[in-house]
Amino acid sequence: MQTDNDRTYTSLDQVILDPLFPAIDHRLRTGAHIDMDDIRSYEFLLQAEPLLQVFYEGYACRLANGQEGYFYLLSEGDLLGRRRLSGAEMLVGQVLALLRMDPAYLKKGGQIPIEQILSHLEMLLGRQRLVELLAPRTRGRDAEMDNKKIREAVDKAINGLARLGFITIERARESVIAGRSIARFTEPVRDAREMSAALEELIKLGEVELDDEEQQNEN
Amino acid sequence: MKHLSVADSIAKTWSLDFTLQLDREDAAFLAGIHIWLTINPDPTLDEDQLRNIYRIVGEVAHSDPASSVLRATNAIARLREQRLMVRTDTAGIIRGGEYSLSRMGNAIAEWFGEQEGLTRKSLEIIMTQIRAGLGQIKVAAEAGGDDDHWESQVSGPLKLTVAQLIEGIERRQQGMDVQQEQIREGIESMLEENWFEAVLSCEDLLVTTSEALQELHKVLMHEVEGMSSLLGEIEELCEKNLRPESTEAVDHVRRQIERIGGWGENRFATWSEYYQNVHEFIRSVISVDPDRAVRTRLRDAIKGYGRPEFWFLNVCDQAPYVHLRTDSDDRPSPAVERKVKPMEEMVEEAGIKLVPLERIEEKISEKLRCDGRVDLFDVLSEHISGHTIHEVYTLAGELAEWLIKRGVPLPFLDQSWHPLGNGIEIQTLTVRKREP
Repeated sequence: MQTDNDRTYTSLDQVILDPLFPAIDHRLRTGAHIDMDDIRSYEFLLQAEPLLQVFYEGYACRLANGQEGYFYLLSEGDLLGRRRLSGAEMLVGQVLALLRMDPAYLKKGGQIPIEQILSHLEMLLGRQRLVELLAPRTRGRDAEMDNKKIREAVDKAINGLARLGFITIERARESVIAGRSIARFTEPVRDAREMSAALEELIKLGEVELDDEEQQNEN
Repeated sequence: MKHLSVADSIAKTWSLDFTLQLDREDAAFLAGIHIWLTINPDPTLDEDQLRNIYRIVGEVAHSDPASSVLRATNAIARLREQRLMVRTDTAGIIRGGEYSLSRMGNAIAEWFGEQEGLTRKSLEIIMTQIRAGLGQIKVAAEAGGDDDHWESQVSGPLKLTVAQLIEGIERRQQGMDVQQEQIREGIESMLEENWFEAVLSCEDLLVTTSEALQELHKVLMHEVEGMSSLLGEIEELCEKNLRPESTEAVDHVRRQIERIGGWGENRFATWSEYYQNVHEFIRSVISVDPDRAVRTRLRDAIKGYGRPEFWFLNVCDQAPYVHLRTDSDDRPSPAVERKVKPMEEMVEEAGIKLVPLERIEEKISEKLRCDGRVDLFDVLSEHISGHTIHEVYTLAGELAEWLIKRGVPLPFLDQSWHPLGNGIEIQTLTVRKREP
């Protein structure tokens, strides 16, 4: 028997028979990111990583380990499905990655108020662009209706990101805490290369997809 | 030493209709008065002295010196109206008065001054005094005596000496809370301004504060435990000698001690969490992006998102498991003839004793004719005694059908469910007589 503190796996069957495996496997297959804050699951993945790589290769998948300390599964074939995040999720994710780099949220335990996400989105994109992206309409404009639609889109994106383990929602405080895996949103700008070159490489790795049009009704 | 409830305290304060409003000049004036009273042997100030203090306020605020006297008079009036300053003489308006700060004025002025923090040394000194005081109280309680003895040697020292010493610790703890808040703000602004270069100084600050809190936590834990057992012994003696007032004083001190112990535990845990957060921030944000270039590039990337192309992260998305099922067989299945038993036979087999509708039919017809209306619930209530739920259920169905056939249903104004004996509830149905 292995203990939690001294877990070593020498074969795949030991990994699969570990009681932690089914839940972690299911989470990974549904797109979840597992980071060091979930210490038991993270430790399990860290110990079992070489064996799980082989296991997931059979499904044409890759178990990725982000440098900030998190795991996720990427499907590179057809056996397990994959999807891309929605445009709103991408925007909210990027803004959260940016806000996580702001020391102002340290003394609040990393809590980022949803209001701050909304105000940063507007500040960075400009009102018109934000409306185009999150509250598109074919006819007429109504500021109140736009605000409502933007808020709905942001809330939906927040819920989606939380399901994928990028963030934790603090509903009582109307705020979110961004986890380590939010750093995935910084991948294309991590080094000084042109963003297009970085994206090209990420596409090859199956991390990213490009499109000329944002698809509003995804997810 | 009875404590008001939260609600009583709120109601009492509300009824006082008291508001506090201090602008920058009044606050500075208050702080000046406080220091004057601290460094001078006189316990009060006269109006000239107050105006002299206010003149300094005017200089700092760059206000017009010509109006200084008038503004000083107004400031004195405002502080008095808000009960921050009190007049200590009884001379009325004949000559200038003597003034001092109220307890509230002193407390606010002290708060403006340097916050008195809690150090291991100051904590140990106060704790030693408290322990010594409690030791003497215990000796006095063991010796016992008359009412005067218990008042002057036990409950009095507990309420005044010990309680005030503990208040001294609490005050210093509050001061330390403010200091910690300032340290947190300091770390935040150091990191914001100097980013990677601020890491070492932030770490030093974190370590120093953590060590100080850890030391205090240890001392508090040790002392609180010792004092609690000493208080337990004193309480036992008070109870044995039937001294409820002294017992109450012991309880008050115990609550205070628990509170200062709880403070240590809570602040140590909170700081540890903050410590970890800052370290995590340094490790996963600052070290990864030492020159803050990622932050700038990400900001630009968001601004230009979708121009020229949108990029999207991919995530694994296993399709839900499909439950396979064999194709349905469309061939018609042969009809099976089943013998349907008559209702009476089935009811009998189920052991249900029916209330024959015929038995009550005549009565209901009569009621409908005379009263002009009949209510299902009333009829059933009248006839259910001695019958099982199943029987009542069957009768209710038959009766509803019977009523609809013979009367005109009235609109359902009452749609609530009414209990009809145990285990059955019905919505009532009222019908009126059909017009010929």
